[in-house]
Amino acid sequence: MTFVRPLTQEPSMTSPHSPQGVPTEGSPPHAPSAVAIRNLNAWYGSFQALTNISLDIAAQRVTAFIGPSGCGKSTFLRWINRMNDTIPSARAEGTLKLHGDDILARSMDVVELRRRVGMVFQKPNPFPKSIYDNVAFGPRLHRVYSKSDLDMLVEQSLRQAALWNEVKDRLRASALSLSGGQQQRLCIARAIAAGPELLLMDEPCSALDPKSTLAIEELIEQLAERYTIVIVTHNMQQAARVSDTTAFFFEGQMIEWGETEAIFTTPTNRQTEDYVTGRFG
Amino acid sequence: MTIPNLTEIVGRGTLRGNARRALANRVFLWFCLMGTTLAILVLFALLFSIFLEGWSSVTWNFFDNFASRNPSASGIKGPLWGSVWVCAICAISALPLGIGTAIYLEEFAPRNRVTGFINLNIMNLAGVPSIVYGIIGLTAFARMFGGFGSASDPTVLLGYSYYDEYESMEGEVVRVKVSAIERDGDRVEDGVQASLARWNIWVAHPAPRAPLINNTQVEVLLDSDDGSDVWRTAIAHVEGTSVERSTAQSASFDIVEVSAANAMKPITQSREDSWWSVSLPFGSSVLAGGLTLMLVILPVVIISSQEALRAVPSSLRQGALALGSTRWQMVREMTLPAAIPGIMTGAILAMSRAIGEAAPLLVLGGFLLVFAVPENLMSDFTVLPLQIYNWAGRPQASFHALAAGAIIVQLVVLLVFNGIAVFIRQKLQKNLS
Amino acid sequence: MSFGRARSRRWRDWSERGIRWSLFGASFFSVFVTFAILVVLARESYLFFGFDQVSIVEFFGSTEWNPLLGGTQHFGVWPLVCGTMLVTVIAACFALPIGLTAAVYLSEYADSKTRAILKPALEVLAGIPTVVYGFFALTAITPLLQSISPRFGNYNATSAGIAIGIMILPIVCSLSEDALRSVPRSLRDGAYALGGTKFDVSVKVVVPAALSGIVASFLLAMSRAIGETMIVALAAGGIAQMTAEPWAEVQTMTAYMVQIFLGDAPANGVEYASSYAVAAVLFCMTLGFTLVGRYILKRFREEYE
Repeated sequence: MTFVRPLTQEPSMTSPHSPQGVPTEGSPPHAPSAVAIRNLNAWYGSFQALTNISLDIAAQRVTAFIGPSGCGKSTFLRWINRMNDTIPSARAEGTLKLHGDDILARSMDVVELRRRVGMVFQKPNPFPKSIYDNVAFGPRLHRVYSKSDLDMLVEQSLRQAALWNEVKDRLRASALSLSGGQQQRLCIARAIAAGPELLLMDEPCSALDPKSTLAIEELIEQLAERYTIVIVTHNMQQAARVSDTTAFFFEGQMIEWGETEAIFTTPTNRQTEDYVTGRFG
Repeated sequence: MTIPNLTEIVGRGTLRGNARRALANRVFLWFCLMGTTLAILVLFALLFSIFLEGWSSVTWNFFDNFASRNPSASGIKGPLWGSVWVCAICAISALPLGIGTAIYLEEFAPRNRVTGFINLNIMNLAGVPSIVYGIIGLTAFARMFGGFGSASDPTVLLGYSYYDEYESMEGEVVRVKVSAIERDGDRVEDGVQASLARWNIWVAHPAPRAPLINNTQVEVLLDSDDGSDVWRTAIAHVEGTSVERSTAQSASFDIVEVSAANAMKPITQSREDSWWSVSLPFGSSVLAGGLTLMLVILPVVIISSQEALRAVPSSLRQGALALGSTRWQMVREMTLPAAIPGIMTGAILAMSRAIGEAAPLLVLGGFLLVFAVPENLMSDFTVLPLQIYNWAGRPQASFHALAAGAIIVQLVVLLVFNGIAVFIRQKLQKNLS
Repeated sequence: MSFGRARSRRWRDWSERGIRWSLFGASFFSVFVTFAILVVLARESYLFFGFDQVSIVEFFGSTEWNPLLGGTQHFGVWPLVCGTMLVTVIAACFALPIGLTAAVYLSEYADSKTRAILKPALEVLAGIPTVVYGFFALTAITPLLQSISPRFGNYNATSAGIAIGIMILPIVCSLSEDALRSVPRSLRDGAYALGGTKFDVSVKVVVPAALSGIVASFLLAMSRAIGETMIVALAAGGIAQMTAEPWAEVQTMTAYMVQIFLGDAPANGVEYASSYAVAAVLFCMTLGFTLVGRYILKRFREEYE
């Protein structure tokens, strides 16, 4: 199995259906699919967290998951890179494929999966090491040891994360000396450095001030040119600003998904409309 | 400038690397398991070898005999009771002090530098080697800084009763209680009671055949068996106020004064100690041993009680204060009951540590062979760990077997204490949560 | 009515104050204990250095310790310190790696059932009286060592060192495990998300993040080892010499104190007083380790906040 996957030409579903079976207007254009999900169900113990999720995540686009708290969007995100493996009571059934590779299969090398799928968390969690060591951690894990390679990787990742100019003089300083927004960008750089195809972001701005949030949103737009991005967000305006495709979740089910503009301006489903207009959530 | 494909660079060694890393993961897991298993194996080897060596020693006689030069007649009666006494004294002194300190530090003390200093101080005390506490106990309790004389020549004595024993005219042995001792054995008496089974004692004054009147002063003659006369001045207590001597059935006499000219040595002098007799300085007594152990476990008790108090949720405290209770009322009614399981667990674990301490008591008294059960606070004593040390240090294998047997007893006690602590922790924790 | 209330209030205030003061007195006792330790050790050491045969220069400078009554007496403290450190280093070599490994296993790998068995077992192990370890050293470890190499005498430093290592193993394991468990989960998650195996996460992220706590646990354990008495009194020997040979017989500071206090030296003689001076040195050493350990904990604790 080669690890560098050319983008597959797997066609996405032309008319995504919401669970109610109503065809949704404004389906996303015929874009190659990075992650294909069909009938995904997930449980924590006996509690069913996700019910029959089916959608496509388009490659090199930004997909946003929105919905009220507890609707399962974070759970879904964490299944894409199998982070839920760390929770003993979690299990999932269904089809979840990254560029054709079955994520849920037992034969899937989870370590390799997580290199291909990077994750940024809600609260910035830099390691208590230097900035350089934080970014270099991923490559070092995957056996990049030569100093020149690492130096270049670190610089490229920090540039892509729009942090290079601020820290290039103090790469050996502790990562904890950075501000909140800088730390989150560092975490993004750290995730990028491992060379992923897909970036998962779990409410990356919710712990940050508005200025840092803006900086990260701009960063996401830039990153989308190179990576497939899935972002979970509480903030609908953020989803509207940043994403190409939006999926609305409610109580473990995916109610509707489609092009962001369509979802926000002309949602098909009543619940979607209630949520995006702020009537609940 | 073409941006290098990070994916390509990072992926260069990845495949082989992943397999190698998975291997490293498994190897490390095995390594950890080995390490933990090694630790457990060592423990079992230790216990098993001791058990093998000692189980034959643990017989009923073992608990009944005292130590002796003959291994087969040796037992742990002395050390066992010594441990009981010492630990009882230790608990009585350490627990109130320690828990009180913890209550003060957690509930009453303001959060200022003085409190911080006291806390730091307690942490440091917890790290002091126990032998140093033994030295302090030796100087402060056993010797009392030399301020009260020496152990064989104590300055203050409380609670001791001294008796002169005489033989009366009819050959009865009479014990007359006296109040203090002088160095060379002469007695100085005042106000003690002599109680006689039958008053067949000559009364000289008033006249021998005069009636004995209650509460009058008389002179009584007590005989010593070398025929010399011993006279004492006494107050007579008789039934009825005035009665013929010949008809009185019994009388007792309060000796009030010794007439110096006739004072003679009694036949024997004996001493009876009540259980609470105390002499200053303490010397190498159970009391000193208990107090020394108190020093050892005090920091432990304080720290564990503090943790138990800290674990009580502040909502409980706020609720009580909001209802208008004073600080102490809140502590007594709310916080303390909630913290009791934790405090008790800590106390029991501290006591189980105290039972096993040998070094401080070794320094304190150095008594390795004791042939009696402690009778009062000033008794000599030894404890079980010291007996183990004594026997283990002998070259003969038979004594090693004895030591192993004593260790088995010691470990059983340890397990019982730990078991009680765990039980309390689980049972009462369930009640409260 | 109001009088009664006022009176009961006053009584309540007084009793409250009384209780507060008595509790304060209780806590003051602990300060008093430290004070007593310092005073006793300082005073007796001062008396010790007042003897003719003793000089401070020799105490800290000479490497000969020969307090025997009657011959020429030498009071250089280094042989005793050296004996203590030799035994302690052997104990550390045994206990620190195994303890840390066991701690990593307990914290990162073991499931809750295993942990429920192992943690109480550790607690019991921590409570075993040290004489038992001394007995084990004398009757099991020493013969074992002697069967490996005849260079080990009946009293040797290694036997005591290993026994002390076993004794401090639970301390290292338990304190290190506390430090490891207090590393926040988010750090582990971040490392897993980058593609780390459990080994990578434990060894490359969690252990470095908990390093201050681990080092502090090492120091505290070694402080216990230095102050240990019964094991060395039984198994290490009574010859004070400067040596680094693990099979040699050595005398530690604590064993020397036991020897003096058990012996016939007169209470106001120089040998007796030397014991106090050695105790003072011991106290300073353990105090140093404890303070450094707590300082490290405090200073570096903010590492991952």
